[in-house]
Amino acid sequence: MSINTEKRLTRLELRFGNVDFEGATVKQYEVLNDMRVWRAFINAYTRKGFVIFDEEALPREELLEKLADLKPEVISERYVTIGELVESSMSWNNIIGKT
Amino acid sequence: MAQSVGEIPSGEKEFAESTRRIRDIVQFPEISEEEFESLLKKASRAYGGPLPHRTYSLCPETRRVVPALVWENGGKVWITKKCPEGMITDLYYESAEQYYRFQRWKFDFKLKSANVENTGVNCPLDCGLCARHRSHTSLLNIVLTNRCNLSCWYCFFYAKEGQPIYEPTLEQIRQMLRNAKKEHPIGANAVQFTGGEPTLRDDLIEILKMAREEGYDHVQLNTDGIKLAFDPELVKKIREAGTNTLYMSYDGMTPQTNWKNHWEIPLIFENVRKAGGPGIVLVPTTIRNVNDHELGAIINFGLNHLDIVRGVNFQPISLVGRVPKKERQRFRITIPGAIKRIEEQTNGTIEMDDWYPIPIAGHIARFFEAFTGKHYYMTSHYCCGAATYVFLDRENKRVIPISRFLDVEGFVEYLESKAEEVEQWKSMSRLRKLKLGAEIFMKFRSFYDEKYAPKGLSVLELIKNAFMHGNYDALGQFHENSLFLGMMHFMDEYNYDVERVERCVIHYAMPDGRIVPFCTFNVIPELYRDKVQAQYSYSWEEWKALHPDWEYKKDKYFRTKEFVEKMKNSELYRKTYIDIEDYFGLAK
Repeated sequence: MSINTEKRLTRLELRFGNVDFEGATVKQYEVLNDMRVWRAFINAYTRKGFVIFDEEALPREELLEKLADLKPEVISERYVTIGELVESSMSWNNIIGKT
Repeated sequence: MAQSVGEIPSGEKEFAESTRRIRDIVQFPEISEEEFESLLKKASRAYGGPLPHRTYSLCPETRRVVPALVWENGGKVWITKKCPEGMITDLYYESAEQYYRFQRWKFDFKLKSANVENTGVNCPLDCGLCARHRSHTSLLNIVLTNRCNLSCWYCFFYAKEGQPIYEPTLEQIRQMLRNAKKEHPIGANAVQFTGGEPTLRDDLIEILKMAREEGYDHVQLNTDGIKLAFDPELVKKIREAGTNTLYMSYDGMTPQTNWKNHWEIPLIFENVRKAGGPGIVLVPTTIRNVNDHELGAIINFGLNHLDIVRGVNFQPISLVGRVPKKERQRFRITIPGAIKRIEEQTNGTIEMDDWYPIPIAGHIARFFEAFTGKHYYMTSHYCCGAATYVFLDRENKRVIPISRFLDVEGFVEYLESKAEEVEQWKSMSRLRKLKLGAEIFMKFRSFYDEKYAPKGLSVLELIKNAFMHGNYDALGQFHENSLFLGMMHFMDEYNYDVERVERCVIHYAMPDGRIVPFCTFNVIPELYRDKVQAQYSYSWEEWKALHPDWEYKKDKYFRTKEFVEKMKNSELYRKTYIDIEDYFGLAK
């Protein structure tokens, strides 16, 4: 595969100043419909969310501009490789309840 | 008659010709914005509530998640939504009566593992599997390649010349298999390898074996069968690698309705017979005004090849993409519509009431689990699928649906009444187990009527083995003596119901670590299928450099005139299509 699992992605944790369900879903769709974004979640109820994206291809200014209507504020940021993102998605790493 | 001969089959000519003749049109009811708002206010909200029912859907144009109303009009069930560009209505289910009968058997299962942090509040934009999902993976799909040997005119998925090639590595495939297997509390037991055309991969056998190594009980290959027609050794290897089922496209009885593999089917069947398997499930994509007049004949065809054909799984068309209202009215068919046609086309042999909703299996699965420790939950939404079994009484040349001699619903109701007791099975003393097992089996006999059962088949014994012992061999024996009939209606933008997708049981694994319901993977490809496959694809140049001997044209199947002529005049063709029994009096 041409994918480089060592490639570094940026994860921004966000807080939104102006968001409702409709605005959140519209923006989440818009952001995710970009090859340079790997994961995104905008929760209108908690007014929080995150975006994981390839900052080499998508400058954060451009990303934050896309989200401008929601008045985003970056709470924190960290880096994650594609390999780490894939591993962290595996079912065995995400048990959310006991049976 | 237009035919794909002397070319790579694409179906374009055949489709154009069959759709010239329109037999019936679905008339969509009118609903004003005021009526819509008023019904939406008073609609039920909880899953399985009465109609009108409020749910969420997708706007086909803007992809917004919009409130939607599932409602009844003229004995049919409709879905209406208010999109930014206006009101959109489509047919949801062609029988309100069947809708309510199936609704009784709703069954929810809570998945307790996820692939994403998203909570599901923005469903269906939050996939992979999330905290909101209500079913484990019953059938995992893995796309092995986007290369294909056909060039279907409507398909946007297969790689055209010069386009990127998606083909996950063996390591990625193993990881996808493990990801679904490790879902909590129940992992996937069944996997389907799909494409493109998966038989184009040289390492297919290795992949099939890998699925077995990873503990999958059921391995299925979704194929057009073309390569299998001309390579008997490949069929043998596929069977030996542990493949249970060939899930094979079969859209009709003529070269026109089944332009994909009509001429190749006799050879495929012959090679499967020689290899001793795998069993075949015929998959007709069912389209109003195109092939909906041949459903009974397809079942008759399956019954004539019961030694190798295990089932027919009808898939009412999913009108994905932008489809004008006029086209939807011409082509839309839903599960009850297809079942009604089967009733008509089998002269009443297989009736509407002979079918069951898929989640009824969830109620039965609880008991399988208690008795055997095996987990086979199928807990989809009650409108996603339907199924039944028909038995062939060869002595009397009669086809008998299971419901004629077994009161399935009565038996499941009885099981429900014993639920608490049965769930203590593991901690019971041996004596209590024997007593309860005997009681259930004795009761089971009272739901079974020998008089109407097919002659020459010990159905009671078969069902007892499948149910009481829950072993897969017993189930296999059951299949070999009967024909499974299924319906699976995948959604599109127009009939999209978020309540259905959050209960989806047929999922795709993606190499980025997510497992995604079928109807988000394919209906919102720009977020899932196409996006992720583009991220993981080889560019044309990369692919060529890695496979210097590969040529695009060599992948493609060219159906020659000589081949068609040869098949037309062959004994094999005659045996396959012409010298067959007419179990439903279709010729009359």
